[in-house]
Amino acid sequence: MFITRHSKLIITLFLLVTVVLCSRIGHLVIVIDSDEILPQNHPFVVVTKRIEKIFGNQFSAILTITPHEGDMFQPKVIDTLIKVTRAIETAPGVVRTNVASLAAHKIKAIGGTVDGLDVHPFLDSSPSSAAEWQTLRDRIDANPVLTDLLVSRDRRTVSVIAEFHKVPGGFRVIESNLRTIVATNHDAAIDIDLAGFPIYLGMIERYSDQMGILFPLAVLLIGLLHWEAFRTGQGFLLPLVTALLAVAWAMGIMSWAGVALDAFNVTTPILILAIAAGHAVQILKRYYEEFEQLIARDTTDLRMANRQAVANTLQRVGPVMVAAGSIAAASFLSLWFFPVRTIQSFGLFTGLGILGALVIELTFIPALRSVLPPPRLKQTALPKITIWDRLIQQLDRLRDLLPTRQGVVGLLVLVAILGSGVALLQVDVSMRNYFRTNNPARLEDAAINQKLGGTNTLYVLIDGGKPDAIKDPALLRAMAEVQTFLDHEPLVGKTLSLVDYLRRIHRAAHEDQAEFDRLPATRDENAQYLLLYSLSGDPGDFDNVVDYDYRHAVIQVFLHQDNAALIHDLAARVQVIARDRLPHGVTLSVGGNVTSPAALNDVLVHAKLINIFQIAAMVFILASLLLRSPMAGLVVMLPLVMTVLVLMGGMGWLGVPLSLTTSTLAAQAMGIGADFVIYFIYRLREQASTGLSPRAAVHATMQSAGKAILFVASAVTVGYAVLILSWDYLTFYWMGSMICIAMMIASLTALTLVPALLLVWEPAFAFRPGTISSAPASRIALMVALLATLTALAMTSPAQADDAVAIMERNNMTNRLLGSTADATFTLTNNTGQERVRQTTTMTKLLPNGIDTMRFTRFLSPADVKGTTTLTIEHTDGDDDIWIYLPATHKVRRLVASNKRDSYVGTDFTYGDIIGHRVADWHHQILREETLDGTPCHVIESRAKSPEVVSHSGYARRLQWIAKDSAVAVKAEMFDPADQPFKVFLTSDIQQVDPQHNRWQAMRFEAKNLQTGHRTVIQLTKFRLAPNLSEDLFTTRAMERD
Amino acid sequence: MPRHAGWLLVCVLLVIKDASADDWQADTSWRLGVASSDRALNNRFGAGAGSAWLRAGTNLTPVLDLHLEGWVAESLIDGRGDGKMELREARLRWHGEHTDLTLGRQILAWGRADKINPTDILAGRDLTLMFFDDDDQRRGSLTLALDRDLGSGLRWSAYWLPELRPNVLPFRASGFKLEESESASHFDPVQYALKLDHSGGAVDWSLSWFEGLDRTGRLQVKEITSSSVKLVPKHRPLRMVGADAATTWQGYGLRVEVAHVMPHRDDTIISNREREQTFGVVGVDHNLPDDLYANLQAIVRHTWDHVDYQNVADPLDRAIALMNDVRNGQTRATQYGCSFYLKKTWDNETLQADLFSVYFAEGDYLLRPKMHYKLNDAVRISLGAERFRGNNDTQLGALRHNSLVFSEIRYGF
Repeated sequence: MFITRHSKLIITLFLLVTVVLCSRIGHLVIVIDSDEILPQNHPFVVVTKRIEKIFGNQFSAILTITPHEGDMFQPKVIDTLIKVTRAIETAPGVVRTNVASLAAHKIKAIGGTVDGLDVHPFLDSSPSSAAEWQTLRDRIDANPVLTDLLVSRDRRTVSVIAEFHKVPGGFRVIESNLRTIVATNHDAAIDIDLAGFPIYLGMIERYSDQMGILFPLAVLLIGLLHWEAFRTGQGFLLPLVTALLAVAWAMGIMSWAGVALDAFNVTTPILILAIAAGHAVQILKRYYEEFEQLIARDTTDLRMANRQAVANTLQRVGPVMVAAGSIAAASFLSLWFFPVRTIQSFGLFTGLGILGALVIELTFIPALRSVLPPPRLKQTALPKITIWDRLIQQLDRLRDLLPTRQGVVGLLVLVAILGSGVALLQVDVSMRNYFRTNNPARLEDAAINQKLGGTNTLYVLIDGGKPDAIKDPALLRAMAEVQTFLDHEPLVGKTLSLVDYLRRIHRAAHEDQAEFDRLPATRDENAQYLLLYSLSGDPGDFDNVVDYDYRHAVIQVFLHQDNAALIHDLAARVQVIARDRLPHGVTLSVGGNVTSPAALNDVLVHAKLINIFQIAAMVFILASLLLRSPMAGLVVMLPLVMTVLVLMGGMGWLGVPLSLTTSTLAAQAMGIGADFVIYFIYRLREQASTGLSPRAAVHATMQSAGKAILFVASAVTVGYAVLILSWDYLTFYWMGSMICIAMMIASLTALTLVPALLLVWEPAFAFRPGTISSAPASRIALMVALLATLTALAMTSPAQADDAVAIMERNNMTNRLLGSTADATFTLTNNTGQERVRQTTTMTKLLPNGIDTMRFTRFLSPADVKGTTTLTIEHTDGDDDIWIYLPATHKVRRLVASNKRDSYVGTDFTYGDIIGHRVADWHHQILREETLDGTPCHVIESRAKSPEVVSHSGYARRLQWIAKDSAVAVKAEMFDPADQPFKVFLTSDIQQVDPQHNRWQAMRFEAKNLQTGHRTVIQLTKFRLAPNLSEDLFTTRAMERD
Repeated sequence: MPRHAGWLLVCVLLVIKDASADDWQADTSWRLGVASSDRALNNRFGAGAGSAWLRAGTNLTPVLDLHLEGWVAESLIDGRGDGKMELREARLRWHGEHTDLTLGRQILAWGRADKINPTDILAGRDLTLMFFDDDDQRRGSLTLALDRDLGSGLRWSAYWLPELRPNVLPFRASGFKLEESESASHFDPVQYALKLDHSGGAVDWSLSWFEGLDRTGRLQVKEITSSSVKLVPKHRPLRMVGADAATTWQGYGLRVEVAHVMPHRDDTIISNREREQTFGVVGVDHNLPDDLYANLQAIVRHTWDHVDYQNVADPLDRAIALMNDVRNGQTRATQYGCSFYLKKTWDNETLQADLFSVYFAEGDYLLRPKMHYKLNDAVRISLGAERFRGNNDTQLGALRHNSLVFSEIRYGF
């Protein structure tokens, strides 16, 4: 009654909240990003990102030119190649230096002459004479490294391969630009085909844009269905108001939380719309029933009757709605634990939408209804016999059939058929399979795969462990053997590495004699040939196969397909082959775009199973609590089990693969379907409590809640059915059709199998409840608490955690300089203000692993420590090596690695603070963004993952303000093992000391121990970047020098 | 050199230090120490010394360094102790890219074990000095050293040590007098050493060899008078091969050091002969939480040609044999023991306390607790004690009259 009495206040408050929530919807970002899609901790993804970092490889696109007649050696083909290459070189997002084609400056013909090496571009312009054409032919033949890559084996096709970074506007910009280039150079006599990751991503973005049409259409169809059901203006409008506001709230909350939407969860508004409208229908249906009953009791004051009906409805249906909605929300929020960020966003988005719908339905809508004029009597009169009644009658008949022998046998046969379909389910996360096989993009992709080595790129990364390691002949021979192994794999169309170039240079340097078509024998020869090449070529010509200091090399492997199982198998066998061949200290790992599906595949298969059990367990527990019976929990799960069985089995039989989008279908269906049985059982208990026999109670329930379930299922079905209109885009198509099927099965089971079971069994929880009033406050409170916990868990946000981890990784690396020298003054002040000053001079040098540092520190003052010298060699995965030279002892002594929690030379910093705390040992979470002294920062909370970490670090928790630009922690608050405030660190005078590698260094550090009042200030002076410090300076011999 | 010359030298060096602050790296400390006893085994109450320490170095050229280090001490209590001075180090070092050549008096400290180093026999020690840090008792000797870096943390060193600077041990025995003069520092060109040392990577290790004179020496009768027997320490040739290693594993430091000493068997008198012995130390150390450090070592010393002094028939020879065995820790054929070191700091290393103890199976032991408190960067106050216990025929027991408590204030600048 509170709501009806204070309806205007509630409406005002509600509108205010809505305005606030929606005020940031404009900031909601819709992105498509591999980081969103891929499991970031999967080994394939880790290696791929590392390769991206070292070699700059990101999103590769390939364009081929093939004449209808003749070979590539004709002006039309070569002119087009030159024009297309030049156009791509200036396309937005392109990595210009990595564009590869016969017409690209980077690609050079390597030839041998009596004078030595002859290196120059293939094509400056189109050949104009027969001799020039012949020269081009000869050069291509002499450089087989290009075959299957830039020219086809049959010399009919030439290609341009380009790599792109993400650009503002998304991949649709890149795709559109490439298509424009194709269109501009279109010629009836040649075919130009396009393929690659950016093309598919661009298309996904374009199809996602269709939601702008599909969503309003879904709104309209759901509204019409409600009109058909209620035949009133309010029946049409109010559920839509709830649904649209729920969508707006969910989007508003996401925008405030800074969670991005992506192209894979753009259908979420339709899902929220359908679920929210469903709940609204349940409450609306009950409202009309209550209103009619009040009128039937000769209530003449329609306004009073309206208010009373609103109150009665809330009292009767409110608790059920909270229960059902909570279960649905919890199901979706549980997706937050899925290790793929896009699915996490989907779960959060939907869960919040459902919670929003609950709040709206239980506050705003009753308040609104109580101020609206009461329905006219004719509006409340449902048609005597409608299609819904007929449907209910049919379902009654089917229900009565089920307990018979034929019914049971039929059901078992159906379950068996569907169950066997589950076994046929295939996981396929290939992005090309989002589109039909006859889609032009897939046809082009297939054509290119046929002509060249393949459009799927796999990278084999070789890490030599130290600069110039790649020039080691033994390592190069091992690479050549790995490459030979790959070349013989049927999946592989082409491989490319530094080995190919070196062999070619070696041969060319010996007047092109065939016997020199092999790797040079010595390191010196390798170095000399590379130097020789650089005299004619450009320094960056080999950038795509070896890094600048010859520590890392990559074997590019082009594959004809991206089947996850085959990729896994190939990667495993490459590792085995390499294990015995690579020299000691050299590592090999596999990554690349083509491994992304394999990574996703691993996650989907395992996580999906876990996810289904997780949702089922949650539904069971919550329903059991709510209905005070574990058997009731099982009954609630019955439609869900059937739905999942039908979905998975149906997908298996129909050949619909389990993919990124279809993997969430079970969660969606279970979330929606759980409502049905809960509404049904609650209404059944209500009817039974009036003294009706079980059969009569079931009949009455079918007429009320049963009919509402039909309305809801139909509304969801028509809402999702609009996705089928996106025929070419299988993501939408399968989602639309599968949810329609799921709704039919869930509602059918809830209205036939469940009542049949209940009638045969007559359980107490359905027919003999102690009381039905019970909006059982305690249980609702428990539900809300559970839900709040889940929501809180969700809001700890793995996505933010991933971001937080990335920020902390960057923070950990931001001051890892190749080398540096500096003087430092340590000023230690105790709580009485007494000062002690220590001066040191320090040199650092980064170890070849790029993470650990050698640190040489000599104390210059005070007198008692003067001359004391320490040498620390960090080891990320183990104890650091530490030596100390004390002038008094006249010898260098190896020290046990200090506990990370121990004070660093008497300061308020610990060794862990100085060396850096291992990022992986802590749970990181972005709490907020804040500007500190004019520096925009992420505020990140890091909690120790285990008691051991607390013990080793001396901290239970760290709160750090990480500067957005430099990733330096400008402030940190440390909490002791009892989680009490312990220390505060401040850094200032932050300078970008190595712009090339984006490395930053704070020149002033301050630490204050809040428990003792002791304070330390470290001021760096004479700081100098010194990347070329000799390793001889970091020896014990150097320590003994004065 | 008379000690007042030493004081004069200190003053000169201080002036140089101030005048050439930019060219010289120098630090100085003034120390005032008082103790309940001296270290002369004489049971006297009260001792003390004031001393000035100076350490200075300069780069003469980019490849040539000069390093000077020494102290001057003055007995404080009524002339009971002797005023002394010591030029511990005065060396020139030329350092090339991979080679260092050092000439001059220098302290060579060998061994990777903690405080007890079997291979550390190149530098002599003066155990009668009233200084309270072990390392302050070291004595430098004239040395020509050549260090060659072999890469990968490996280097070898060759030494020529033409100066013998013996150990100075406390001596007091009724009826005997020790004549130190003949064992004072002197030139002896037949001492060499080689060392192959590796630092870095998983394990630090070294192999060492020394061909030279025994720093401790064995007491021999010089003269017998009516009132006493005059003894003189004879420093005989010996050869030592040694090895040590140190590593860390799972947060624990592991140290091992062993030396095998082979005497020249040219002396027919048993009591005069050097003994062949193997001396080993193995230990583990660990940093416990909250700035607490602990080190535990096992000690074993085996004398291969051990002769029980009690079996020496002549009473005089027996008494001298006992004194020699005690000085060299050879009263038992095999001696087992252990050492323990614990150190803890508080308040950002303002306060430090440590305890060093050595215990041998014969029941003799040393306990040495110490505490240092830094008033500020310049002033440090120390308080400590040394307690020796054991029978007369044990190395530590023989020193029990040197048990003392002490305090020192040190001012450094």
